[in-house]
Amino acid sequence: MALLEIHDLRAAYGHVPILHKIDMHVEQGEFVGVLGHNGMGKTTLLRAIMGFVTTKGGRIVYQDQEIQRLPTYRRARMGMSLVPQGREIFPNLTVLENLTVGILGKKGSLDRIDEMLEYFPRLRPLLDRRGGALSGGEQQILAIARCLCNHPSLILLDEPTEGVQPSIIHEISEVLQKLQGQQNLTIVLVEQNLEFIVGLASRIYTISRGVLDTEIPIDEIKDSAMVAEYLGFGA
Amino acid sequence: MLSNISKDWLGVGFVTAIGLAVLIFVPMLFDLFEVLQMTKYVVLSLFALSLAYIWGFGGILSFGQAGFFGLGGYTFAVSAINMGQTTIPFLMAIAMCALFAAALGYFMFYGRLNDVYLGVVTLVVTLILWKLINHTAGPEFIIGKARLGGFNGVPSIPIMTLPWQPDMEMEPSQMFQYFMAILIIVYLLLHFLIKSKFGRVAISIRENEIRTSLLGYDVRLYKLWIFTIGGAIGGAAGAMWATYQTFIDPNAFSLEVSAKCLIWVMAGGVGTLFGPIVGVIALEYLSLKLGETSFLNNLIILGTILMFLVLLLPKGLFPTFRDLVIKLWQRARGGTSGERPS
Repeated sequence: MALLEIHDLRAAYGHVPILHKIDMHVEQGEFVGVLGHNGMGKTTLLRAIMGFVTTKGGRIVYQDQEIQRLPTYRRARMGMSLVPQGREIFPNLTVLENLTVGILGKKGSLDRIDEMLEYFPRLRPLLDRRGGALSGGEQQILAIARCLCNHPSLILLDEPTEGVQPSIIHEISEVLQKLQGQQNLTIVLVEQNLEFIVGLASRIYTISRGVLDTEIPIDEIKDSAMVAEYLGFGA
Repeated sequence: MLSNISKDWLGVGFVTAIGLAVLIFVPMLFDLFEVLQMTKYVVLSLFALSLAYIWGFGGILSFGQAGFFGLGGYTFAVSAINMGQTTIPFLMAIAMCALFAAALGYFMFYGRLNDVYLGVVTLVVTLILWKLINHTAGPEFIIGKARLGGFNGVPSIPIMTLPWQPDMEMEPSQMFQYFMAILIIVYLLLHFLIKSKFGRVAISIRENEIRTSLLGYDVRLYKLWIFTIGGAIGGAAGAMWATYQTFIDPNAFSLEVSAKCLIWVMAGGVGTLFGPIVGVIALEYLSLKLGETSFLNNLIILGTILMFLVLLLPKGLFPTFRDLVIKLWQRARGGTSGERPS
C-alpha cells in the first residue's frame, strides 16, 4: 500500500508555474530518490508535499487521506517531516534545545533524544553549543536528528549533502541506511549528488522543468553511468 | 546541559537578589521624591517587559504597546472609581487587556499578516483608541460614577490599597514595594516561560516560522498566546500607572508612549528581560537629569544619545556589557566559544 500518492499535482509561485502534472507514489519503507539539476522543481516538490507552497491542482494522499488542503503543521503532526535545504536549524538555541523543540509533546522526550544521540554520537559533546556555532556538516546532522525526534513515518530530505564535507556525507549515508533498516522509515531524498542518491535509493525519479519524467528501473540504479545518461550528466 | 542550566539560574538569581535588595532597602535609604521616582521606573519597567517578551522572545514587533498600557489604565480607573477598591479593578485591567490582545491577535495571526503589516495594525489600533478616548469629553461619556473626561483625562483615581483590604491605602513606600514585588514576580514568571517548552517553541518561531510549523507547531496559536501574555502585562503596567499618578489621560495611548517603550527595549537589549529594565532606568534617569539643565533642549540631547547608542551598541546596553564580561572571563580561562551566554 502506498504511503504517499501524488496525482496530477501542480504548483506555482504566484503566477509562475513550477510543477506540472506530477504523479508519484512512495511505498511504506521505501527509499525513493528524486534527481534533477538546479531549478528543476525538486525543492518545490517537497515544499508542496509539506504544504508551504500553494498547489494549483491535483491531489496528495498520505496514509489514505487527502492532505493538499491541510496546513503545514497538521501534515507534520501526521508524521511527515522535512529536512530543508540549508538545514535551517535554530541558531540561537542550543543543540539540546533544537532537539527538544523537535519533539511534539513531552512524553519520552529525553529517551528519544538519547536514542538519536546513539545514532549521531557526534552531537553528544555539542549539546550545550548554540546551533549557529556548529559547522555546516554538524548542522545538517542536527537537522536530521531533530526531524527524527518526532518519530516521523515519512522523511523528506532536501539536498542533505549540499556544502557538507565528504566524511559527514558518509556518516549521514550510513545512519540513514541504518535508520531505514531498523525503524522501517520511508524516505524521499532530493539530490544532485549522483553517488549519494544511487547509494541509498531503491528507486529514482528524475525531474526536469517541473515534470517527473522518468522513473529509473531498480536494476539500472546501481549503474551510475546509466543514471547519468538519463539525466544527461554524462553528455 | 547542566552547566547552561546553572548559568541561567545564576543570572536569574543574581537579578532577583538585586530586585529584592532594592525592594527592601530603597524605602529605608531614599527620600519620598526619590522613592516616587523609582516607583515610576518600576511601572515603566513592567511596561517595557511586556514588549521585551513579545518582541525579544516571540518575534512580534508591536508599534502599539501603548494601546494595552492605556486600556489597562482606563479599565482600572473606571472600575476602581466605581467599586471603591483596587484589587478587583487591577485584575480586571489585566483581563481586559488580555482579551483585547487575544481578539486583535486572532485577526492578525489567523489573518496571516506579515511582520510589517502587523506593526502597522498595532500602531493604527492604538491611534484609533487614542483618538476615540480624546473625544469622550462630553458629559454623556460616563460609566457609572466615572467620567471619561476626553482630553482632560480621569482624575481622582483611587490609590492602590492592600490586596482585599479596600480601606488600607498604600503609603508611597508600600506602593513601591508592592510594584517591585510584581515586577520581580513577572520577571521570574517570564523567565520560567522562556525556559519552558513553550518558550523554546516561541524562540523557534522568532527565528524561523516556517521551520517551526514544519515541526508540527501551530505558529498562529503560539503567537496568539505570546501576544496575549504581552497585552496582559502591558495592561497591568497601565493600571499601576493610573493608580501611581491617581490620574490618566489619553496620552497613555499616545505614539510617544509606544515609541518610548520601543526605545527602552532597543537600548536595553532585545532578547533579554533584564536589558529593557536597564534601558528604562538609564534613559528615564538621563531624561530627568537633562530636564534639570537649561543650556540645550533635553530632547535633542536625548535623541543624539539614543542615535549613538543604537549605532554603536546595536545589541543594546545589557547584552553588550554581558558579552564583554563573558569574553573577558573566557579569555582569562582560555575557554571555548560557541556556548550560549546565560
